Amino acid sequence: MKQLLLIIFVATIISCNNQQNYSERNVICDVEEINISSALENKDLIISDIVDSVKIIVLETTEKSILSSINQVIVGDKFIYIRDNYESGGVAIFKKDGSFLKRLSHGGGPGEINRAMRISYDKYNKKLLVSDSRKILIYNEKGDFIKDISPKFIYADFIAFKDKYLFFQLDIQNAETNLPSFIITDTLFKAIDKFYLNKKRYVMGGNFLSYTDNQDEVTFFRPLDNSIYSIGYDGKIKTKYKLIFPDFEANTDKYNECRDNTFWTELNKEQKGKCYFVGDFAETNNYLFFRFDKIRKGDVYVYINKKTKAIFSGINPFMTNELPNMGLLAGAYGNYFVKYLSLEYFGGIGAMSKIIEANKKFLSENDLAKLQNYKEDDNPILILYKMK
Amino acid sequence: MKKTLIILVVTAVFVSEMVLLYKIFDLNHIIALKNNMIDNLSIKYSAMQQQYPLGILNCGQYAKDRTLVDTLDNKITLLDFINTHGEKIIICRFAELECQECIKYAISVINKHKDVFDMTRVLFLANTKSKRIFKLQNKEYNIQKYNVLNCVEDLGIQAEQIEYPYFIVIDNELRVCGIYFPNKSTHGTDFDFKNVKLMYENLVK
Repeated sequence: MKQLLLIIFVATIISCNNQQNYSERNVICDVEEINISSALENKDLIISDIVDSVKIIVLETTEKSILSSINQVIVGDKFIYIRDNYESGGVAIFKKDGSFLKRLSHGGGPGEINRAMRISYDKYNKKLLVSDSRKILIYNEKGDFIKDISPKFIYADFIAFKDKYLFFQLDIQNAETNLPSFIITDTLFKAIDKFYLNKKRYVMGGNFLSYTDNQDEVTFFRPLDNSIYSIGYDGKIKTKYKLIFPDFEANTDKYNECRDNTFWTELNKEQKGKCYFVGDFAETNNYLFFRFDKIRKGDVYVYINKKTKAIFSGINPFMTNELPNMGLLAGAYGNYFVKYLSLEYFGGIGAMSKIIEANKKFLSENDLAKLQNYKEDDNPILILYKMK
Repeated sequence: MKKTLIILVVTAVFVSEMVLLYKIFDLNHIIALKNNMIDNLSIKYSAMQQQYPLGILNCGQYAKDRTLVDTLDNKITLLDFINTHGEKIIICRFAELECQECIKYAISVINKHKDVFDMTRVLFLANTKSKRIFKLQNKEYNIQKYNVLNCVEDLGIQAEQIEYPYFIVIDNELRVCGIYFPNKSTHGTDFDFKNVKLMYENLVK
């Protein structure tokens, strides 16, 4: 009897001792700071000085391939994957020349998407992963369904890196629910590491993941935090790049308590001409790209050559009609930055003649012909450009 | 000794179970849940409050006579459209950037009552800059068989500012006779029979 009671006692104590096995992890910061003050002065960006070549891909428009508003573009090895707003979140696959391959079917059956929240291309295993509510659907690179898995933990978003996956939460969620910021899993989605990033202020809006196709690490950032971080296989978080701009940096500390859009309203009201990092960051093999907001002046695009550290920048550069300046940043692929252009937001089809004129120096005859034949209700154009 | 041991074990079990219960019913979660309920109630209340000012602001206002376009680029003015479809029509207005689920729900409300409404007197009026996306909306929302037109210009009434799909009953003088909009906090799922009845009564009045 005594032994039985003792066993119950010990078992109960053990059951209550099931502590959370994740902890706060500090960022390792031993990186050289890049002073970009000179980049943020008022000047135009002459993109032709730094662009080596531009390719355009006109995504085929058919009854089945018609795209809704684009949310995400991934240029893979053989195919282009597009997550759009179709049926509240769909995925279309195109070949590299822009011809349509297929749209992943919608519904609740096996391999069907209900609402695609995020796509990721695992280039080492040649798989397309689609996050759909609480499950991950896995397809081969052509979009043939393989299987789906429901991870046994809560996450907001995910991305693939070499033979591992990284799941993460937004700051606001882990602050309130006490969940880990990051969970690294193996390819079977079994958690192998969970940790917090030391807390920073929560900011509404903005992106989180960097645009890059380097899957040896995951790079991420937070709007208004002027550092780019990386997570390696070992789960170590490093500051990869740190930007300083003492002459132009907006003072955001005074709005620390703002947790909604009043933050942006106050910031924009009070600090004209000052700058903050919006949250667009992309990295190719040889260049970095950052987008800053100069308050009440417009966007500032900043390109930095990774080898020479030479900086090229300018305000509101899309006014020039040069394609590498236009469109929205959508990704990076090898040496190329990737953007997409929905013409209706840049002057409609009427603006095409100006665009063709401004880009004759960049584009091949073939690409110019594609633009000349472009119709108003065609799918958006992908713009791939490589820096010198 | 035996008695003491039993008391000790029972106390330990009780304490550990309490700790377990505390973990299961995490106090933070309970507080968050309570706050969430209060927020939901206040959102519902503010939505109810909004109905009245929006009605007052919009009813009796005159919309601007805009040019409307169909998927084949055929043009018609709003006034001409109303005159060819009856003295009063219902406009279901939705924009490209509004949440798709809310638009789908708003459209399904009309679709569900299509036998009650004369669907020739219902106009689905998009506000979509992209011709491509306008065509796609027709397909996605399954409204190809109805009157679907696009107008990227503001109709000149207050309701255009709510950034949410809404319904208006409008007469052949372009006067807004009634406005009906779903509750934002519930994605419009409480836009029920009562609203539809009011809308119908206003249409045939």
